[in-house]
Amino acid sequence: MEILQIVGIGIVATILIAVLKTQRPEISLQVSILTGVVIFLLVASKLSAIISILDSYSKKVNIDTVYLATLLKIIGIAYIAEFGAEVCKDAGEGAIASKIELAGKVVIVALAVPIITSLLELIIKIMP
Amino acid sequence: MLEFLRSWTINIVTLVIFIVLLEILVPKGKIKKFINLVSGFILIIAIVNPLLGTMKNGIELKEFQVANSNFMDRKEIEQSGKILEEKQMKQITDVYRNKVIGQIEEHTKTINGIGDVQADVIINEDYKSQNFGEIKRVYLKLSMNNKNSVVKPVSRIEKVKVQTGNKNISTAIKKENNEIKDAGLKNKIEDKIAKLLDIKKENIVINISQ
Repeated sequence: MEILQIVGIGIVATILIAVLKTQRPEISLQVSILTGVVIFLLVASKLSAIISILDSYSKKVNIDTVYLATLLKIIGIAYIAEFGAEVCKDAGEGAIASKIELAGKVVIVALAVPIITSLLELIIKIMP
Repeated sequence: MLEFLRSWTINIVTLVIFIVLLEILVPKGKIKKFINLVSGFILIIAIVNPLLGTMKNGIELKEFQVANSNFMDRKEIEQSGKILEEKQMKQITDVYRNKVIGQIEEHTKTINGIGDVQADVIINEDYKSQNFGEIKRVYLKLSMNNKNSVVKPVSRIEKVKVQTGNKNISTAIKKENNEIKDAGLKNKIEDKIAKLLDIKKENIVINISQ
């Protein structure tokens, strides 16, 4: 029952942070980051299993893997960017958080460029 | 035809299921909109491309992917290359500038009567121009060697008017002598540096520290 572990870690960390916030706010931030990383690592192995299953099915039904690979990369980038941005927001650094989000968006658009251009190419070919 | 329809339908259905599954995993934030947009594009391509493929008009997505990522990589490398080149040229300019300053100081110190020299130069740092590295101006700050000095830096002296005796006359003469000698030394330094660096004399600024 991994969910119990994760929820337990989350609740313990929240109580710790609530106690530490008034006395030592700098340690409470570190506890929050560490908890985030631990929970993410606990889930990461399951996430990779899900993705490998999806990948194997895409090969079975002959889907173009280019689509899926790009989509998965984009989701990974989104996760990392959101995680970083949330940590910064928790620490009260909203400006840095928005910069991280911007960086995430730019990287996602850069990855999506081949998809967008191929769509445009399709439209051009459809037009008589 | 039936085979094509079968594979086309399977493709679309699987892709839709995958996209729905992946959208559940997407963190809810500002980036979610972008992911929805991209997944929508992918779905459109998956629907339209096989249809065009039957008319031999479709596109090869892999080729597109490779071509586009190559193009973007090339642009990125070009950009970082430019930054590197600028950094390298700045380093080269700094080394060159320090070397020139060292040479000026060394040569000026050999002139009799000069103690310490501090030099500074302004050079053309625009590496794209043909005159890159050209020395535009030279600044020299000299301190005189007091023991062997022929010339001492003297602040301007107002004429002293004393009614009795010849004191006022002697002071005025002293001042004139200093100025002449100073100009001689200045000329000597200017000549030497102008020859050394091949610049005009008016671009050499000499100050004597008191």
